[in-house]
Amino acid sequence: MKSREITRREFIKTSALTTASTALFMNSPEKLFAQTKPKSRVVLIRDENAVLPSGKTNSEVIHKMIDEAVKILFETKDPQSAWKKIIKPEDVVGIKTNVWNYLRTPLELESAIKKRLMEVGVKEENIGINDRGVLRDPIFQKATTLINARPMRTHHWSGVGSLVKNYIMFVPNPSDYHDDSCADLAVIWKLPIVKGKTRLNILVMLTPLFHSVGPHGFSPEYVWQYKGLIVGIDPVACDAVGLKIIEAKRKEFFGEDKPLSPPAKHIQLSDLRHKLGNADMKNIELIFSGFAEGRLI
Amino acid sequence: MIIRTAVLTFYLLSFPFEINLHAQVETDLMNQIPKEINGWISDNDDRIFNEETLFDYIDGGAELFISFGFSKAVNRTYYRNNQPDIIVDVFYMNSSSNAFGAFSHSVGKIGNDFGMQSQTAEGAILFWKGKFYISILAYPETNESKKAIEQIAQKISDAIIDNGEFPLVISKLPKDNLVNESIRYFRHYVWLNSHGFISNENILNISQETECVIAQYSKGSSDANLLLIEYKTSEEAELAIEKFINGYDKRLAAKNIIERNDNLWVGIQKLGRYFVGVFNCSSEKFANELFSLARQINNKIE
Repeated sequence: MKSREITRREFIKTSALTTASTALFMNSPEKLFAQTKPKSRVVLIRDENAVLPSGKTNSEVIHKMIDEAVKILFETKDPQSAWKKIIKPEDVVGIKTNVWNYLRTPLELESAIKKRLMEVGVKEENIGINDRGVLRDPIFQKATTLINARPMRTHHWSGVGSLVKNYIMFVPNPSDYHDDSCADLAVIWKLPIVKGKTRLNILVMLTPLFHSVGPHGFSPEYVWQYKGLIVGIDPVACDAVGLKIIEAKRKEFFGEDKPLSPPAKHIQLSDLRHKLGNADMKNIELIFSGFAEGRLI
Repeated sequence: MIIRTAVLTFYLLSFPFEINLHAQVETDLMNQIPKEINGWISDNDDRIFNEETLFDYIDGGAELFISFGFSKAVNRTYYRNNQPDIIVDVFYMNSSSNAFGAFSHSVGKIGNDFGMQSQTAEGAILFWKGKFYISILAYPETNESKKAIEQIAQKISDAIIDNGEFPLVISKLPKDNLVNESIRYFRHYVWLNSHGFISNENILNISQETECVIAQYSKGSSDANLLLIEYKTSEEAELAIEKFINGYDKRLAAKNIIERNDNLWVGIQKLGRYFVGVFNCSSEKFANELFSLARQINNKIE
């Protein structure tokens, strides 16, 4: 362990020790999720035309999907009314995207979000889209609102790249949060630069990666066209739904239970240890929209 | 004074020689990989990454290599018009065991087309040989890129003289009913759950000083995961087992094989410096068979 990281990691370990009892129950998560909590509303929307035969994203369909998802999520008659529930014209909005080479947040989704923000009255100069440069981006430095959007994929160390993990670029040394296979990523969500600002989470499930090989993790053999978006206010709940789908796909493909290695325990711990959101499916109100074939959940 | 001078002279003469030989060995492999192949050219300098900088290159994937003991990685990229880039990554692991370990945790189907073991997938070739773990990628794959990466892989494999060895602890796995492709070697507790959940904590005192292997077994309708951990001393193994029993299931203190609520069996045994654990086992009988086989192998080697 490097000396510059000891202070950071010791802090996390100390925090973890105060909730050590939850760690003991990790072997029996069912017992721990016994008490009722307010449910998190999550929309899973799919469209058979979301991905073109070429593999490219269908821009028009993505716009429709995100419109429909927010309408369902916020129970409005039109998408503009939905966006008005979470965005004010005077907001400074950072869209936290993900630019991983092999499976990035679709540009079509970024533009769909930006379009709706501007329709609500947010000035274009107050909208920023960024990933690795968020700490240097003036929009993100003064943002009042964040929209979190990224594809789900398997990951060699955290189990999966998730919405919770997407905020790791808000810290100067991301590797400080790698300890124990990224168990405490949720701590980042309590930092002043992001705390309380996230109005919407979009887990992109258009072509998820369900198995990682090699140092870069990507192989087209382990990508499939799910053609979905998972949308919600609770990032942990969205991630929990996405994780279920990934696990089901792995079982379907490999013909047996093939657990993620390491497991994506940061999602469960985001709930149990850090109270960021709901990871238990019993505490998630999951609403389906779109075609059902191959839904896996 | 004369003796001191002689010693100093000897040291000065030998030390740079050592450095040059070491550098020569390290650069020889990259020098033997051509900079041009089938129209692809690499005319930029190779990029070199260490533990600190590998995160910038492959993000959290770096932890996989750090957990196994890694000294550096060298990246070379080849370009050709109207063709995918070919990305060659050579990882200098600290031992052949580590090269195997990193490989075993980052592949799907294992073959032997290159090196000691390899995987060939669409647009990718991965293999290990000696102390090296090699990754060659070219997406999206074309007929030309497929041929090019195969040639690069063969050249690299041929350039690595020492085959390396599998970790010794693997030889202690019972061979009967072993699913060879399921073997996972590791020295970090994060990999405990490679074949089913055991624990999210370091429940067995795994460290860089322990040698661990987990593998699947299948016999007819019987299945199980076998975990073997080699500690430095028998006392360390004893302490680890005590910790495991207290953290996993205290019933194991009285009985070495127990049935879980999901009707699967779990068992543990201590064999000298070794912890032997059977997990997700479909029957008590199969667990006992595996323990018996493990004892036979341990008796032969120890």
